[in-house]
Amino acid sequence: MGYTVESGPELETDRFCFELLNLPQGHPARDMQDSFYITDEYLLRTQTSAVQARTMLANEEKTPIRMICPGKTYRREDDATHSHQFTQAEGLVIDKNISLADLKGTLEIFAKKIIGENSKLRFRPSYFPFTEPSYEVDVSCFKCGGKGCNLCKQTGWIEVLGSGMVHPNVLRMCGYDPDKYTGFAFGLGLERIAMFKYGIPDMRYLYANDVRFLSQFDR
Amino acid sequence: MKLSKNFVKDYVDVDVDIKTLAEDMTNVGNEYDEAGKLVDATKLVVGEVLTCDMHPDSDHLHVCKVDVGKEVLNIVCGAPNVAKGQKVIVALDGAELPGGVKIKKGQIRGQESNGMICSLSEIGIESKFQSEEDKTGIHVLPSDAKLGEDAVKAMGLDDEIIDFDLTANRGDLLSILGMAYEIGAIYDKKVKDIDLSHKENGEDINKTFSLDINTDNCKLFLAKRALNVEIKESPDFIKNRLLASGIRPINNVVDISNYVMLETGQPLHFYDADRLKGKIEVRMAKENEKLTTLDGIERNLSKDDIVISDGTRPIGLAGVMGGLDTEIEATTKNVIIEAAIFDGVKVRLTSKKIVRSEASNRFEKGLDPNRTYMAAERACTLLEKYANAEISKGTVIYDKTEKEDKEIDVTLENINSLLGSNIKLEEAVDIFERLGFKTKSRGNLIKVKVPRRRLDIDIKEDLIEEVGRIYGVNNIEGKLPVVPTVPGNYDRNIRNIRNKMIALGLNETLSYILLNDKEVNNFTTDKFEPVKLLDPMSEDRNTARYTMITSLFKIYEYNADRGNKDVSIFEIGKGFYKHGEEYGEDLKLCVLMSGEFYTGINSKKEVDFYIIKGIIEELLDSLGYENRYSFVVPKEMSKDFHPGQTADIIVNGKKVGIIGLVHPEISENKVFVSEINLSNLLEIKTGKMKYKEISKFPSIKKDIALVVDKNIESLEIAKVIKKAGGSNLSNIEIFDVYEGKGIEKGKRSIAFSLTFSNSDKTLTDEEINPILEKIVDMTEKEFKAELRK
Repeated sequence: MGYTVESGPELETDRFCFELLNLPQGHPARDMQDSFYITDEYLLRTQTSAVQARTMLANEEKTPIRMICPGKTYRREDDATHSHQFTQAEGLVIDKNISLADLKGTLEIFAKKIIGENSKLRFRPSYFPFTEPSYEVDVSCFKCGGKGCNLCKQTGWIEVLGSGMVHPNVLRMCGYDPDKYTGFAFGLGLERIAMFKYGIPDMRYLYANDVRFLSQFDR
Repeated sequence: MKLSKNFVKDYVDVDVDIKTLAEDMTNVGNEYDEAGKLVDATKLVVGEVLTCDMHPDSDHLHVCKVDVGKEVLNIVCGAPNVAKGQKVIVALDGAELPGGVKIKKGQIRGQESNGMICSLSEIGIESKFQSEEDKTGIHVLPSDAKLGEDAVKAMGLDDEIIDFDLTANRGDLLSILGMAYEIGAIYDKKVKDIDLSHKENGEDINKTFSLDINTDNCKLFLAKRALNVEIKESPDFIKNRLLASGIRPINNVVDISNYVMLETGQPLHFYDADRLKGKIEVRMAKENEKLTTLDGIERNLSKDDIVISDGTRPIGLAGVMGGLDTEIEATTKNVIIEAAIFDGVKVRLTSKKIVRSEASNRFEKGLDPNRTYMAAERACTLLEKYANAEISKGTVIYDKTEKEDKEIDVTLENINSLLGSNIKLEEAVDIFERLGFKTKSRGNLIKVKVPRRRLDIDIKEDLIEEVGRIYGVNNIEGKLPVVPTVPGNYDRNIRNIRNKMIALGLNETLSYILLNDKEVNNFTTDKFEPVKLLDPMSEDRNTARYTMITSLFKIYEYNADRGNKDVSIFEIGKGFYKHGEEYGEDLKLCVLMSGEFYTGINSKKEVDFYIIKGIIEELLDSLGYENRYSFVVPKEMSKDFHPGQTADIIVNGKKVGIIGLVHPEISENKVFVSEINLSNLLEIKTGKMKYKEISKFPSIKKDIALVVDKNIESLEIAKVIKKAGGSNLSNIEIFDVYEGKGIEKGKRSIAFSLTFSNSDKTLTDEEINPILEKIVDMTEKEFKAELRK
């Protein structure tokens, strides 16, 4: 789809991980309880969104951006559906005249290719500090296709990603004039999608690396 | 936030069922966890116990005759408090109770039982909402309850609940009024006015009461006074609505403060006025200042906590919890009502140390100062009505807040270009009006007045989100962005390396980067400072790894413990370090091989040094480093490697990695590992691929086996062979290593396959034999090698 693949440091600074993403001091997401800090300034990145800011700032000519960034991320949580280390993929498109309709169309194709030809999407308004408007995106249930089952808790939908139009503050802080440029961003947890797609019940299985598990995924 | 449907109906008409309401709220951005009846049970009626006798075959069961209106039922009941004359909740035959319990006619120890007399727990009321008596037995209804009537309705618990999981920016929805505005916007219904009417008499509170605000962390403080309150139980509707909202009823006065918080979103605090010294001061606490809070615990305060003081001592932790000795008790006569706005960040930090509460949550999310005034008045209204209070004249006011609507401009173009939609001006204006925002439009410009209750709306993009929310994003058609394509810059090498390793038959792993600090220096002699976490989740994972070998060795151990002997894996990941003040991270490839390895159709081989070396060579060749690398005995080596079977990987004279056998003291089974620092390797330029004339003349292969001391490196021998072979020797391969029977102890045999070729002529035995002799001579001289016969 014409996206460049970007990468960024996993040992990230507060500035790229939070500040430039409109998460000011005092925002609950910056609490010690959620992040692995190394010093006051350095932490293990909590989201691949940090690469958004890096990509925008590095692009001095302000040429259009269409990038995707897969990578490891870290948060202070560990249970069957959360792992203190997990993998995200972040997408970012910036240009003149980028709209929510573009985001919708892009994610619809993404869902068809990654999740299944017949998958449908539902956009639910939500809140992320770095996008405005923000949406959580549900995909029709992997198991029942939307009729309702135990996997989707009878709703027919499974939440798979967060997305939205890049917040004007983020654009401004990263060197773009929000009156001229707009953009969309989306981020998703890859383990979560793998778990639903292959029916893996516990995220920890992905990190146990049993060769009998690994050799099942040789395609 | 638990929304009671009965409660919100006070302020907006809702005529859809609870599931529809929950789904419609979800579609405008308000997710929910559960939606349904408060008491999820059927066939519960009011009954009267006509007789109650001991069961003939039991020391605790009772046999009762219960009148349920239409009939009299025989019911066996085990509750200790059941008695003749009580009005009770009866689950009839066929009733379904929470937790999947079904009531059926039957016999209990030979006595007919045609239903069940219920406790509150049995109908799904959590025990924290129950009186002590209710916790130990059946629930007794008031004597005026009508026989045969729906018992849930008789208790006023015929309510429906949605448990919302709200986003952090919508603090306004932590109130019934806020919910009413949201529901009103969805269904185009007006929000009804709240009743603030009450009488005020006597001396103005300002005459005898003083307020002193000595911190910027309190922007608004209101105090009112209610005299001669009568403390008693709350009326049923207040108790039931608190219960439906998840708050435990206590007494009418305390309940009113919670009720008003639920209605308006503004937390209130009530003080026993007679225990204050006629003054309230708000300030930051002194370091180590003490306060015993409502829960009886003495708290040690810090200078980051906001405290309320009466001028002599702290009497409350602002926004978090009141003090014990000014709390409302059964004997309280006069009440000071506090309605204030404290700094959300400070309240959050304090509440994290003490307790997260309904109140602290609301301060954290932010409050509308207009609601603070409203809540103070509303509390007076309810105290007058339900606690017979006399409200004093006046309000003590300290106010540094802005209360006017926020004026924000947005154009129709702004809306449609950001949403990619085709919304008309009238539609956009209608959405704002439905949300309760006043608008004025000129041409395509809409001037919107946003009430302060919507703390989340500050810029035009926020307004566009509102339009998108109510219009429905799912009504906007998706398209693809038109953006020029630029060449990608991600290191293609990484993808090639991954594909190569998979093609060679290794499994890719994904391991945790966090290790115990004692493990970080395993398998390496590099000098670096480890990267340690300030606040790890556990000591097992308190440091970021430097080498990935430890991670992969752990994976090997995990598999070995489960009987998986054949483990050939690789991972591409990062290693972390600190040099001075600088943090760094390098991309690395780690390979681990043990047990048998698939080497072709129907062919498996026990992994040895040469197999893993072959894998690494194969990889380096494919990346373009052919003929530029060598494997050299390390000058310095980690004690975790086998000293005789370990080598540095050198490319263009620079060390890029290590390859070797894990020391037998660490693993009895042979485990070979290799790690290459890809950040360093990929900096080394490769030559361009160029065509080289293929020799028209055939090449000749000769095999020789040399017997040498066990500790002599085969790599060193190969070097000497190369030198002796000269330009006609085009390739050297080791194809067998043997020690044991037929070979002297302490020695081993290494077999080399040598390829000779020349681009100008066909080589003859006469030309090759002298070269072979030279090879044997030189290896004998260097290593005392003997040709194996």
